[in-house]
Amino acid sequence: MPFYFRPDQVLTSFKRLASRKSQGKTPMERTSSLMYFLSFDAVAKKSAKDILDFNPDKSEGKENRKLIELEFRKLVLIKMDESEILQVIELSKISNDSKSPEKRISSNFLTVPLKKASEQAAPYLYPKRPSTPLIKMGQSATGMKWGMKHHDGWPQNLPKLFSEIVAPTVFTDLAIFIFRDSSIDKIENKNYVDVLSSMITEKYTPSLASFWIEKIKKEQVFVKHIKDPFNDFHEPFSKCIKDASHYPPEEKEIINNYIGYLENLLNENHISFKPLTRE
Amino acid sequence: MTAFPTFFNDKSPVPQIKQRLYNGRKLVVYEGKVKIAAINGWIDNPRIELAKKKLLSRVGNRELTQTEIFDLMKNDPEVKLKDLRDDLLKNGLREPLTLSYTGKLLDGNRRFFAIKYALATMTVTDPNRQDLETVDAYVLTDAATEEDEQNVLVEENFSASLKLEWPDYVKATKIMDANADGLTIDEISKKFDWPKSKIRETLRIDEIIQEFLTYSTSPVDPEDESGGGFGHSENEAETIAAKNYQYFNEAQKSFFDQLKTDFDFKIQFFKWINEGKFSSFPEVRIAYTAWRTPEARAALMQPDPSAAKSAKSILDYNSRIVRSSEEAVGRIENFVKFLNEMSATDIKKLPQTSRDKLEEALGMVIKMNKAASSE
Repeated sequence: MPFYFRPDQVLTSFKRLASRKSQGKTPMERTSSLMYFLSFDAVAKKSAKDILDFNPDKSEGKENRKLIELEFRKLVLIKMDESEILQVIELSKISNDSKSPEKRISSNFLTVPLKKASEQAAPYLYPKRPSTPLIKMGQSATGMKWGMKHHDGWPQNLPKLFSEIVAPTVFTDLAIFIFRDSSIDKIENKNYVDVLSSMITEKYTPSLASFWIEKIKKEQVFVKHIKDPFNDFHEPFSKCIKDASHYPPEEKEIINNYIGYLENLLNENHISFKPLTRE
Repeated sequence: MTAFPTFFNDKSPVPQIKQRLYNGRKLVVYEGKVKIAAINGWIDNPRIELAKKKLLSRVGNRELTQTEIFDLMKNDPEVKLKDLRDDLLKNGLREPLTLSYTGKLLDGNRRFFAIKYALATMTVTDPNRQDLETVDAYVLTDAATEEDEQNVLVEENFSASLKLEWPDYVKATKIMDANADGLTIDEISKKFDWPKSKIRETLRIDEIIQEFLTYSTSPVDPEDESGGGFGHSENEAETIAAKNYQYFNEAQKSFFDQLKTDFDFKIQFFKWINEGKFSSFPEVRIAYTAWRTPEARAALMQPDPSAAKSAKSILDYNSRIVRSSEEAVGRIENFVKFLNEMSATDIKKLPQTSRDKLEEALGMVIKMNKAASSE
C-alpha cells in the first residue's frame, strides 16, 4: 500500500529552509547552485556514469541536457497551468515566474557556465559564489569539452552552501521537500529516516546518498517538527500553497513600494501601526 | 518652616515634605516639581574641571556664564550630554534632581543641562515640552546645613550606582521576541536603541542558543552515535544557556559558520558548554582550532577542569615560530626527555599510526643528521 508525505509536513519542512538573509541575491544563487548539483547527480545516477557529456551536437549530450532539465523541473516546479508557473527560485519561497524551469536551467546553467567551461583551458568550477565548488566542467577537468563531473571537495562544500539557513535540520527538510509528491511503496516501515534513506538511495549516486543519509541520521536529535508525517493517500503539495505571490513580480514591487510609502506617512504623522514591510 | 523656594512650579501640586536618607543621615526635603528656567547649573562641577580650565585659559580668569558651562557640557565627549538628551526625549526624566534650598544643584547637573539641551531642540508647540519645562525634584529645606548638602553630594556622586542592568540573556530575549513578532532589524534597533550590527549579532547568538536548547532537551539516546541529547528539562537547558550567554557570543564571533556547517563540531561544542569546559573567552575562541588539531583536541576532550587551558597552551605553543637555534635546542631537549621517560609499555599503548609517524620522523632525523655531519 503506497503512502506519501503529508503536504502540511512538506510545507513545514520547506519553510524551515528559509535563509537568514531575507533580501539580496545570495539565497537565490545558492538555491540555483544546489538544484543544478542535485539535478546533475540524479542524471549521473540514472546514466551510471561519473562524467556526463553535455555536447549539444551529439545525441548523448542532447539526451543528457533533456534529462538534467527534467530533473531540475521535478525539483523546483510546484504547479504549472495556463495562468501561472509556481516554482522554487529561493528555498522556503514559492514564486510565480514566467520562465519555465527548463528554460531557467538552460539559460542560467547550460548556456552560461557550461558553455564557458567548454571554451576554457582550465577546469571550470561551479559554483563560484560562494567559492564552494560542487561540480567541475570542461576539457581539462573531465577529459571532455562539454563534460561535467563531481568536484572532489563537494562533501565539504555542500554544507557551506547551507550556512545561511537558520534551522539545523537542512538535509532532512530538503529531502522531505524533494520527495513531496513521491509515492512510497518499497518500504513498509513508516519511519521518516528509513523512508528518506530509501528514496535518496534510489534517486542519487551512492556517494551523495550515503553522505546525505548520514546527515539526516545526525540531524535526528534536532528534529522536533516531524510527527506523523505520512498520509495513506496522495494530496498534491501545490494544494496547500496559499500563494501570496500570485502577482507578477513587477506588480509586487509596486505594491511593496506603496506599502513603504504609506508606512512612512504614518511614521511622519506619529501614528502607531504594526508594519507590514520587512527588511 | 519657611516658604517654599520660588523655583517650585506654582501651578503644580503643593510640594510634599518627606524624609530621605542620604549617606546614612536622615534629611527633611520637599518633593515637588521645579521650573527648569528658574534654576542654574552647577558651575563648579568637577566633571568638567579640565574643560573649564582650558576655556578659562582662553577667556581669562573670570566666572563663567551658564551659557558657557552649557556649551562646555555639550562639547565635552566625556559628558555624553547628547546621549542623555536623546534618552530624556524618549523617556523623560527618570530620576528627580536634588537641589539646596537656595537652588544649588546638588545632584543631577548633567540631567539639568541635558534637559536644557532637549528643550533647545524642541519646537515651542511640542506637546512633550511641558514635561521637561517642569521636572520632579527633591529640595533641601532651609534648615539643612552645609554638612547636609555635602552628604547629598557624596551620596549621589561618589557612591556606586546599585542599579543593576538586566543580564545580557534577558536583554537578548527581548530582541528575539521583537524579531519573532515580525519587527525588522531597523525597527528593533529603534525600539531598543541598539545598533543594527548588535541586533544582527544577537539574532545569530540566538540561532546557536535555539539549537543548543533543542539539543539539550532531546532525550539521551545510547543508540545514537552522538549519544542523543542531554535530556534536560526546558528550564535546565535555558539556565545553562543564560549562564553561558557570553560564551555563545564568543562562539558567534569566532566560529559561527563552522558551527553551522560542521555538525560533529557543533554537537561537541554543546557538550563542552554543558560540561562547563570553558572558563574564559580565549578558551572558547580556540575551540574550533582545537577541534581541528588532533593534539589540542585530545587535550580538550580530557575530563579535567583545566582541559581547555591545556588545549589553548598547545595551540599557543604550536603557533610560535622557532626563531633561534637556542629555541630549537630547548624544544629538542624537552622532546628527548619526554621520549626517554616513556616505557615500552607506554609506547605499546600508542595507536599504530602514531608509532609509525614517530618511526618515520626518527628515520628522517637520522638521515638528515648523517648528511649534516658529513658536510
